[in-house]
This record gives sequence, structure tokens and C-alpha cells, in this order.
Amino acid sequence: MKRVSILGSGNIGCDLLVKCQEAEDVEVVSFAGRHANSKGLEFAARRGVPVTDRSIEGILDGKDRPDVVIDCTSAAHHQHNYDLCREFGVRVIDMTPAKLGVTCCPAVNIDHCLGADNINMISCGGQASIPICFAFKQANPCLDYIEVVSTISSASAGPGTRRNISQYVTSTQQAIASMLGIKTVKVIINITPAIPPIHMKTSILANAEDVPSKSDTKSAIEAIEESTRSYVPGYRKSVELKQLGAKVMCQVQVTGSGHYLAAYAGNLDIINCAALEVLKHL
Amino acid sequence: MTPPLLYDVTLRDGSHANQHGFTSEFCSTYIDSAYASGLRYIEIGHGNGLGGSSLHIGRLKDPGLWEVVAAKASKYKELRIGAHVIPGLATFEDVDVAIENGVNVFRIACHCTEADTTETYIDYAANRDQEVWGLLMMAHMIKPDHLAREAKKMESYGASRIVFLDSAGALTPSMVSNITHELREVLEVSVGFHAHNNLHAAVANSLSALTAGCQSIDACARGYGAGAGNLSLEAFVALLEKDGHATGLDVKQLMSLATLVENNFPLSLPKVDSLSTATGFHGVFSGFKPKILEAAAAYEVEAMDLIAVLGKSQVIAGQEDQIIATASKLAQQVDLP
Repeated sequence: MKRVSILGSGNIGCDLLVKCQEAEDVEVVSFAGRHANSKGLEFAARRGVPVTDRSIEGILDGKDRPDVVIDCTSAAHHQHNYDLCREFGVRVIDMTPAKLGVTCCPAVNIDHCLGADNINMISCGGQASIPICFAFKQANPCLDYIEVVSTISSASAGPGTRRNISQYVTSTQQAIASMLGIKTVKVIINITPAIPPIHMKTSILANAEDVPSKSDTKSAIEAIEESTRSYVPGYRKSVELKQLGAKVMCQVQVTGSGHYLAAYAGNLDIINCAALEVLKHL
Repeated sequence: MTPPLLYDVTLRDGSHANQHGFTSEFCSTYIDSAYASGLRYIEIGHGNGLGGSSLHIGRLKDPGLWEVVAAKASKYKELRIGAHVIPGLATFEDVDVAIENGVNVFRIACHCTEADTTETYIDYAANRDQEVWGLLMMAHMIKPDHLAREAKKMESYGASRIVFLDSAGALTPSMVSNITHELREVLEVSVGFHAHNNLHAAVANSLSALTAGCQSIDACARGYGAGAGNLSLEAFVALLEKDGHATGLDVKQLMSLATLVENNFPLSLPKVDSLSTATGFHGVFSGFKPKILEAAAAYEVEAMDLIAVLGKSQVIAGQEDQIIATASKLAQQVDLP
């Protein structure tokens, strides 16, 4: 049984709570926020989980100390949270873009991450794109440029997302480049208010001349799509690899599981599914 | 009516027309000639602004544009050089590079409903003592009072002027007038308008904006911009001058500027063809035109059908990949919204 605490009572924390409670061999020992009357803490209390409004201190001071803390706060708070966890020998799965730990996309490098005391989940766009980028690179080892364009619905983009767009772009670019050994990575994000809200879509583009074998690339994409779907049920190819002029493009769509958040919020679902997958393997 | 500040977007919006192919040499000649005609605000760069150069939207062909910017910034002390900045395409690092090269007007732009994505970018540029404007794109997609609330947010973040963009050329003169009144009602800062000519209404809309109280107008020499093109700078100035409004610009010199564009880009001069009219009618981003033609050909679907579906599914600027996704679904005859 894995004993886990969820730190941060926003949308990500609440959705993770539901996912952890549904998972086998995972026990949520505490759920922490900063405001006693927050919607998130009320939600967790209703689900029968011990709650605290004293953030990381509340989690570590309690008698039921966890094995793992999932940090759903913000990059600015993560260093402090991580320092305290390390003092108590508690491992951390980091949902913020703080990049202090080893970066992880389960379909690509989970085994490489399991020994680390801080595992960083990069970003929603990172989780959606890295499996496909990996397939491109696997089928085309010389590939040195790739582009990732994610579009998320306005309804799923909270204030944190909106205030951290530049940081999201830069840190996702760096994570893809370093994890996959691709020299130049360009990340783009769109937020659309279209009604009904669109399900998250991520397009991957490359120079056609860097992708000599379309059929090998297609098979690699199909294989990784399936292994990603084993932990992200709504992960589906929405545009088959296609050459248009000097570029090739394919697209995946992520439909959320609809646990705490609506099905369109695939962007929030995928990073939580990835964290749960890591938790299961720890 | 006070004559407006005329903001020249030729070297940025025109980049859509020639698939981001302006050369440094052309830009250098253009800026000299534009400055001589009295223009003091000139924007330059990729059609989608900083960070826009990509496979997704189109690669900027000449990497040497920054050198031109730097040279002109030091040559003309009165010249304000503008950059278009869309959060999600551009990063803070792109803003830094632009500042280093002499850009001093940052136009932070977002889809009309998403003003809060501009807060940190407006803040970033303003903290570096730059002139910062807020731009609301695809303004036809929401009601004027909603647009005014988004504009007010940008003002509160520190934008010194708010420009609303008719990115699809889908507005009519009465709509432009209503929006301008609504914005003027709530804003303390100045208001500007940016037209596209999809329904042949760039001149009528810009005049309507001025009459209703807009203080700046975006325009391009020879209307050289995305899709059906923008407001034609020389024709608009000629109209104002004939009506007795002193613009401070030299009409004759502006004609030479238009000729310069005509001579250099005879094959990509804007025209209001049936496709442009369709994008205007369906409210689809003007800059999509080449991508629509490319995707329609690749998937063997009708461009007109594609435009209608893109309009119905409310695809916004930046979603070039969705043109391809939509064409692929049309080809498979999958149910579409």
C-alpha cells in the first residue's frame, strides 16, 4: 500500500484525490491546502480524507506521515515543500514547472525516474507531446528539430496557467529537448473559447526531409499511442501523420476521464494520469 | 475629428501575404521611404509576431531582419519600431531580444476573450520602460460590452492604448462604431482600430472608427497584409486630406511607398477574391488563406466547405493545425460540429 499526501487544493489536487482513491494499493493519508474554507478542502473532507489547512507543514507534522507527497502548488512554493520533504525522507512527485527533480513522461522514461526523490511531471503539453516526439525521434534518429502546438479550451485554463505562459513554453521546450536529445524544440500554446469547449489537442510537426520513413514513423506513433493510452484512457490520434509541403504533421486529442473535471479538460487529466502512473510504480 | 495616429503594419501583416518572405534589403528601403513620408510608427516582423516563425505558421525566410531594426533605430531617433507579441507564441526571451535590437513599442495581442493571458507580458515590457499597447484580435467574435471588459483588463495591466482587430475582416461600419463607443465609454486610455478588407469594408470601417472616436488606425502601404489585405494607407490618408484633415503625412511620398510594394510583390498583392469574401463572411482569420488552400489541396476537399466548417467551429488565429485536422475529417466525411 502506497501512503500518499496531496498538497494543493485546486483543480489538479482534487482530481488527483479521486484518481488515487479509485486506484488499488494507494491510500490518501492527508490532503492539504492553505485556506480552511476552500472548496478543495471541503471536497476532500466530504470524501473522507483527513484535511489540513497548514500546507506542507500540516502534512509532515501529522502522525500519519506519507511515503510520497504530490505537490500541486506552484513553482514558487515547490523549493520549500521539497526541502521539508527531504528532511523527513518523504519522496515528491512535482506537478509544478519548478524543474528541481528528474523530468518524467511515463511512456518514455519511467524506469529512469523511479529512483529519484523528486520526480517532475513537466507540463500538460509535455505529457501529451513527449510520447509522439519520442516516436518521431526513435524512427528518425537524425531528427534535430520538432514543434509542438497544443490547444486547450479557455474553460480548462485557470489563472495559474494564464499567468505562466512564457514559463510553460520555455520549460516544456527544455524538457523535450533534453529528454529526447532533440537540438531545437519549439512549443506553442493556444487557448480557445470555442463553445462547446474543445478537448485538448496537440499537434507535432517536423521537417519532412528529417522524416524519411513515413511508415516507420507511423508504426512508432501507433505503438507509443497505445502504451500511453494504458495510463491515459482518453489519449487518441486525431490526425494521421501527413506531409504538407515541406512539413509533416500529426495530432493527438486528449479527452479527460471526467473524474473531478469535465471531459474537455484533457490537459489537466493527462498530467494527473501520468503522476498516478508514477505513483503506482514507486 | 482629430486626425489619427497612423500605425504602419506593412512589414508585419504583409509578411502573411508573402509567406514571411520580406528581405532585409526591402525592409531597409521601405523604412527609409516610410520615414520620409512622415510615418513615425512602423511595425516589423513575422506575420504572427515574435516567436511566430515555425513550421506550424510559416518560417521567417530572412534571419537578418533584426540588423535592419537595429540600424534604423539608431538612425532615426523619432522612429518608434513596433513588435506584435502573442503570449504562447512569444516568450519573455523574445521580448528581450526585440528590446536589445531597438524595438520600443510592444503590442501584446490575444484572442479577444483571453485578455488575462497578456497580464504578465504587458507587465514584463512595461517594467522595461517600453511603450505597451493591448490588442484584442478577432474582435467580431464577441459582443461589444464583453470586448470592453477585456479591454479594461488590459488597461488595468498597464497598456497605454487598446486596439481592436477585425482579424477576419468580418465587421461592418455600424459594428465598428458600436465597439468604439463601448470601448471609449469604459477606457481612459486611447483606442485604435485594425481593419481587414475581406468584405471591401476596410476604408468604411476605419472611417467609422474615426468618427466614433478611435485615436489610432493601423494601415498598410497598398493594403499589403494578410488575406484580402488591410486598410490601404495611401488611399486612407488621401481621403482624410481631401476632407481637410491634416494628417502630417506626405501623400505623394506615400504613393511612392505603395509603388515600392507593387514593384516588389506583384504576385502577392492583396485582392478581394471569393475565398477572402467567404472568410470574412464566416469570420475566419484572414491569415489562414494560404493554409486553407494548402490543406484543401492535400486532402482533396473544397476550400469553401473547409472555410464554412472552420467558421462554425470557431477556430481562432494560431490554430493553423486545426485547418489540417478539419480538412482530414472532411475528407473522411466524419461528423463535424
